Amino acid sequence: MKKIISILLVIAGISLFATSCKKEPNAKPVQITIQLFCDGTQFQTEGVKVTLTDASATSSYEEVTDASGIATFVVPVGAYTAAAVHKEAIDGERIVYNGQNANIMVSNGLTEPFALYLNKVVSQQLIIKELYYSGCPTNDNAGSYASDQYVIIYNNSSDPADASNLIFAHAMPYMASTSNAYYQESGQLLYENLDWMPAGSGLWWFTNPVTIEPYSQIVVVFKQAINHTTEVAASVDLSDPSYYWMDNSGIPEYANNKGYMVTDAMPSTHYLTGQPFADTRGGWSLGTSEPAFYIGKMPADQARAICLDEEGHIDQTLSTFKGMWVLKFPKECFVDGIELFATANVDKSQVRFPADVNTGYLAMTGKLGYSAYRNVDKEATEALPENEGKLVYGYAGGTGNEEEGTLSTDPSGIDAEASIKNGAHIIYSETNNTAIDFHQRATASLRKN
Amino acid sequence: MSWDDRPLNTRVALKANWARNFGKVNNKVKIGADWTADKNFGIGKYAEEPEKAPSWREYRYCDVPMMSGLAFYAEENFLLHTGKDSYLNLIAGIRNDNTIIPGSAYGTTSSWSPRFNAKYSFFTPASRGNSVFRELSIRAGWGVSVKQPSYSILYPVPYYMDMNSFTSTVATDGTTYSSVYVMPRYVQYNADLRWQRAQQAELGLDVDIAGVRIALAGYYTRNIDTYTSANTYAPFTYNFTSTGKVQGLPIPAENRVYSVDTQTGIVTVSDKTGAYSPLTVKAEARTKFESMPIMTNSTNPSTRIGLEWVIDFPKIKAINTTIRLDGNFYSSRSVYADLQPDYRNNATNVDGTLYRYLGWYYGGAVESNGSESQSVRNNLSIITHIPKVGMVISLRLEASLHSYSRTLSQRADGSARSYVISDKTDLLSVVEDASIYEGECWTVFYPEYYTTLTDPTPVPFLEKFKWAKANDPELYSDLSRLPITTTTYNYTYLKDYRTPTFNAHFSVTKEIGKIASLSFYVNNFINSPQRIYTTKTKSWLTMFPSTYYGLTLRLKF
Repeated sequence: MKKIISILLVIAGISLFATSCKKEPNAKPVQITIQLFCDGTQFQTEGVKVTLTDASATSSYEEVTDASGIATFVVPVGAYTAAAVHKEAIDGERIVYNGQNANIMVSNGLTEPFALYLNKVVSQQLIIKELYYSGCPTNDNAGSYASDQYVIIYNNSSDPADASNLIFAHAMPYMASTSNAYYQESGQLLYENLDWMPAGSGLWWFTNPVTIEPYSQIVVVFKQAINHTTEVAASVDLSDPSYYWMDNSGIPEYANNKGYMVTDAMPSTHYLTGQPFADTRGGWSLGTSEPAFYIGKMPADQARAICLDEEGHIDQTLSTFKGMWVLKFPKECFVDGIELFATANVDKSQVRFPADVNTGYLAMTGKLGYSAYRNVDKEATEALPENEGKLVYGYAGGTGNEEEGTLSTDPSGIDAEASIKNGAHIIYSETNNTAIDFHQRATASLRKN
Repeated sequence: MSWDDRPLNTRVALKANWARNFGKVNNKVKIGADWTADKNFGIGKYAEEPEKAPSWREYRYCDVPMMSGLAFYAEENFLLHTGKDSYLNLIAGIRNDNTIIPGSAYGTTSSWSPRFNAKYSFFTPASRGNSVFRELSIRAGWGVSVKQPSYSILYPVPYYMDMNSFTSTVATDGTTYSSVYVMPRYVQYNADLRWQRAQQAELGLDVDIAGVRIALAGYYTRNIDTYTSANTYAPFTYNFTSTGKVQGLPIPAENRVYSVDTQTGIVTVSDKTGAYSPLTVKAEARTKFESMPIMTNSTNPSTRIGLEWVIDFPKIKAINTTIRLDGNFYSSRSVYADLQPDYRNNATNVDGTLYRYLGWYYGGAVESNGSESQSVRNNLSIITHIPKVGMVISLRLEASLHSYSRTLSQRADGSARSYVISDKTDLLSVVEDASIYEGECWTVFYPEYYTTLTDPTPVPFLEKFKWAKANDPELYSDLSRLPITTTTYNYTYLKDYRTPTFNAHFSVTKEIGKIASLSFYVNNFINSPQRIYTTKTKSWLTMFPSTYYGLTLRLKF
């Protein structure tokens, strides 16, 4: 018995010795620095969160950069992956800086900082969410009614967006299916590689500061901000005082405009104003069949100045007739656009946007109350943690059907309006391709009946 | 909208001829008179449901006075036989036209149109037998034809300019109010208006050489005092009330009653419940130039010259066929040289007020103030008679052998009116000593001077424009709306020669006894597209002439 106990004690002692003699890793932490870069220069921004994850992904460390864009870590020697994501909202643009470096080898004696290169991706905060322009059937279905045009501008980001300098415009010619003198023999648009793109009739802007909260929208009415449903059941109620309205009646050049009206409930601070540059006495209104509508960003005084600068900014390629004059709108001020063809005229239609701002088109059937509605960015929307359990699927608001090859719907399957009512935050698709970003919605989103 | 159109056109003509021979003289005198009367007993265009067309104003035809025309003419035709087969023929005529419209500011308009023709025939075929030269005569003519102003000038139709002066906000019950400033307009009376006239002169030669009859005629026409539409401008001020001025008034929208002073345009809002006192809404005075149309005369005559020929070949008796060759050469040129004002309506100054400048333009506010053209046409007609079956077959080939035209921008003395610019975006980048006619180019045309709403003193344009570019950017921006440019096409003033084109027409006529004839015709029966090259645009155009065909039945009584 005594012998057995002795043997056990020896075994324990050997084990203890073995344990106490095992070679431990160098546990003394090492200080390293990581310098952020973007576009070939140091990204000197304070407060950017940098994450360092070890090779086994069991340990991670977080630090923020200083004013020089340098993050300092004290970590054990080893192999790490560094990553950083930083978001900014500047002048309505949502910028995401994103980068990763999987070769962070931490060892003793390091003196030089590691480099982490960030890619810059610019997403627009403000986008066109819906454009309702071609009207709806009259009550007796004998004709159509199109005094109820509107556009919805949406903040597609998690930060408040300043929409004060938003400009509203449409490209020329008015219809995609008419002959377009801007197309050259090469098949390219004249302005494809130039710094401007065409705008027709006039430009519009807000008269007072406008801020759109994250994942929220404003409605801008083009012609009549009234309740249209009292006259036409299939129309929409645009008399909400929170909406905005293009005040054609206040523009001296539009001496003959008729039919522009607004509910008394809407404060005059919600009126837009503008500057025409083409001779259209009847006022600015969006085409009802094949418009190419867009928004831009420019201070109002600059917008007015270029409209009045006939020498430098007016182009007469389409026609010398003053009613068809075109403004050379700076491409750098473009924010978002939508190219619309009439379904019956697709074969003879041509895009009006240059490829570096927008591609593709949406074929629409007019006068039936349809709207052009933006598709949901499924991945980005589902990734928002606040959307857990709030997204409504099974969207059936498109038009046409798959069997006939006429289906136009949101491929994400998410019912954006129902989800919004459920408290979800929707991020809409932004590929600058109308064909991918939009579908034909059977019912305007503002229609309540 | 509907039409009630019931015109009645009446004409009575009287004519008397007197002919007498005095020895070698054959004398004919003709006198005549025409009376016409035009009146419409309908009410013109009208709205069957006037409440749906509140801005439509009727112009009732039945209320418009009758237009009567009274013309007198006389002609003396004097023929003197100077030899066995030669003669001198003199014709002198005069016509007096009068237009009577009761109530016209021009009263009864009257004009005289004289003419004189002379012809000397050396010999005729009757006395020449089978000689080579069978006929020779020369002729000359001179005349003046006067065109009086049309009804729309003598008794102008009024039309209306409606300018929006106020639109209210919309109440909850959907009612809205609007007012417009109505400006009646019509072609103004011009006490200095002269009647347009054309002076014509002609020289001709008729000859028969071995049975081939050749007729040549050259003519020269000069149009004087051509009627030209123009505008007169005067400053005009009206009060405008923007919609925003009535938004948010203390009087609830559903209780508001709007009234507008019909003289001042000032809007007053009253409360139908009486709870609030009437409110006068602040208006903005807008001043601009307004135009009134007027008919004037162009001071620079236009000219046309031409040469016509007809060659009739002897009949080919074996196939009973005649062949005729006819054609003409035509040339015209006109340059409009009057100084005309023009206003950029629906434009604003840099400061947002309505445009304050009136430009005065040599030859009008247009890129081009003239044109010149030439053409040569030649036609071949082949007519075959087939008496045995009472049928006539004809074929006509038409050819446009020469077609030239050019747009002009120049002064009456030929000096420059438009200038070549090197940069489309710089209105002052004029290229010295370059002509707009020398090749492809962009051009600019400046007004001679400008006046403003507040100062009618003419300011020389180009000098001020250059000064403003260096010293006053706002004035430069405002004035830059006045020059007229060709910046879309750089070939505006190039000569345009076009390649020849051809047409062919065919017809067949069949006599049906002595009571009728039936004709079938096909115009442009080849019906194939024609490619035409134009030197102006250096491109090919495709012409698609239309083919027409038809049947005509003539009944003979």
